[in-house]
Amino acid sequence: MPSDEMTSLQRVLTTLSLKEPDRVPLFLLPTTQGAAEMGVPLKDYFRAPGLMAEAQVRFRERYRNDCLYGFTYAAAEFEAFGGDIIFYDRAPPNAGAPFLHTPDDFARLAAPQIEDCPVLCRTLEFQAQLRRAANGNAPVIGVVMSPTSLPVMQLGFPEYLRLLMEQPDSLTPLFEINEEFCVSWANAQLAAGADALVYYDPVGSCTVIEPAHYRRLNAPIAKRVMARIKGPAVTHFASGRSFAILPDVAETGTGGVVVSGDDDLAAVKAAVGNRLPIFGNLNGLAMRHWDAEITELQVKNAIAAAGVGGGFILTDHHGEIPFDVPERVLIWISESVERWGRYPLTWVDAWREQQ
Amino acid sequence: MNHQQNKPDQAKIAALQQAYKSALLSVDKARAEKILRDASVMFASPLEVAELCLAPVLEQMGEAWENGHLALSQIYMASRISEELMERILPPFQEMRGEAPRIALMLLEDHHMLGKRLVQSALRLAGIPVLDWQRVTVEELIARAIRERPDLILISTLMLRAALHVRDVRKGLDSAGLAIPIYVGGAPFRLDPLLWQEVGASAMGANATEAIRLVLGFLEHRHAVR
Repeated sequence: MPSDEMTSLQRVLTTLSLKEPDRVPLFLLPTTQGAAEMGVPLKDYFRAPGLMAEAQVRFRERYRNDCLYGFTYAAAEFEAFGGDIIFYDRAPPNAGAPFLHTPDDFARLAAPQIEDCPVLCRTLEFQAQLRRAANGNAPVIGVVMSPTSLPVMQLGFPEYLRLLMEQPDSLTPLFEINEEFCVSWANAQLAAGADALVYYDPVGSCTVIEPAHYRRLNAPIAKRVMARIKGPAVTHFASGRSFAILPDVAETGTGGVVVSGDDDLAAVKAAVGNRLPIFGNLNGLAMRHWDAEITELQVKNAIAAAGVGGGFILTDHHGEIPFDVPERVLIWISESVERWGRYPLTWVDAWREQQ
Repeated sequence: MNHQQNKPDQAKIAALQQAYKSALLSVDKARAEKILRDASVMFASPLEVAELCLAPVLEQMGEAWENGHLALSQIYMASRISEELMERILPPFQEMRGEAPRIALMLLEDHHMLGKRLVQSALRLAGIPVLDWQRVTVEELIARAIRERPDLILISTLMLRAALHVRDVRKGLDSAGLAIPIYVGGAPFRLDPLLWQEVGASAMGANATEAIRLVLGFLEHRHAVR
């Protein structure tokens, strides 16, 4: 490493303070790929904190990644609440059938105790190992589902949407339970090994609910949760659009926002780039077809749109690289960031004029 | 009855559509119902209400969602309200379109039915009955297709893994000598526009209204070759 090269942690912290580091940080987030990397079935992999930590360390080295991703799978919290999980060979585990059916069921629901949930305890051990491996050189990232998005799995999407639109008040007891759990789970991760969290709220995106609805329901809950989390959290809409609500997202106390490939990254930068770090917005599903040239173009476009002045971390827009994305594409992304992400970004003005 | 003679003029249809859309966006079921009841007097047949008012409005709303101007929650509620009102106000759809084609609709390997429900509602509102196969695995789908021989298979998916399994469905049907077209939809296909061809589907609908267009195209083609 050259003497003026920052560590990943320095690079990320500089970016989060809206300044230019030595290069654009890269958060590449393979998860299920770890099972293949370690030569075990996915079901075994997600039950072995040591294997998950080793895989993430290898990925960080291979892709010059600027974080260690302490995420297992999105349905883990659903599992902690007692939901069934379906494991597959080449994809993230999925939530089984919803276990709540009507608002009457909420009275029987209680937030799980973290120490009683093997899936959560394994995640904490995974993150503790990542922190030891990082040795202060790279941030460890944990994940929580927002109290307003977890019901998609708990209730099923159709019933949840119906209640949101027709009987929103009936959901209050569920949101309260989820909120308490979210705060406890977030702080447990920060205590165990995570340096920062992703706050997943796909339901809050403009793709799923109206901006007015986000302002009325999701934003106040996010604001309360952020205030009680003892560390930074970045809001993630899991590929849902968010441009219209970005000023409201900024008011929740979030540490940044991950935007969709469907959002105009340059417009996002212009709108909130002076007060909010921006993450995004490569399309992981499309990566399956990328060749070297397209990959480089995608990376250049993103950096040109949001990189100047700092405050930008390149990542995919969904929070997880699909299993079927070829490894060579991830290598090309890494090489392109190395080539085009070095500050100062002197090439950007000429590039913009060409476009 | 000559429907053309009774059809309201374009300005009236546009005003009706606008009023109905406004009621849906306000989630105002009572207002939407009144508009439809008035429309059922204006139009010559229930099918015309569906074709000239409901379907275009839902199509416009689907496109607005695709372009980021509406939210999924609004599409879902518009679909629910429209379906409920059609059932309450108008005769059963099975009576509306003559001989019913055998169109099977299903969710492949998932438990989260929103997309499938939207397509199901949209098709019903367009007067197209479907066979609801609920949630199926690849093996179940192939076995049932061999047994029941539908004319068209519509597959909704949520996860990339399930979307990639459409390829196995295609292979299984081909092996059984069944050239049934497969139309697909769902987030993986919307986010990766090349995926439907990769897995051997015959077409992809980016939203529920596109599904209607595709199915109507299929029906027209089927009618023409008969």
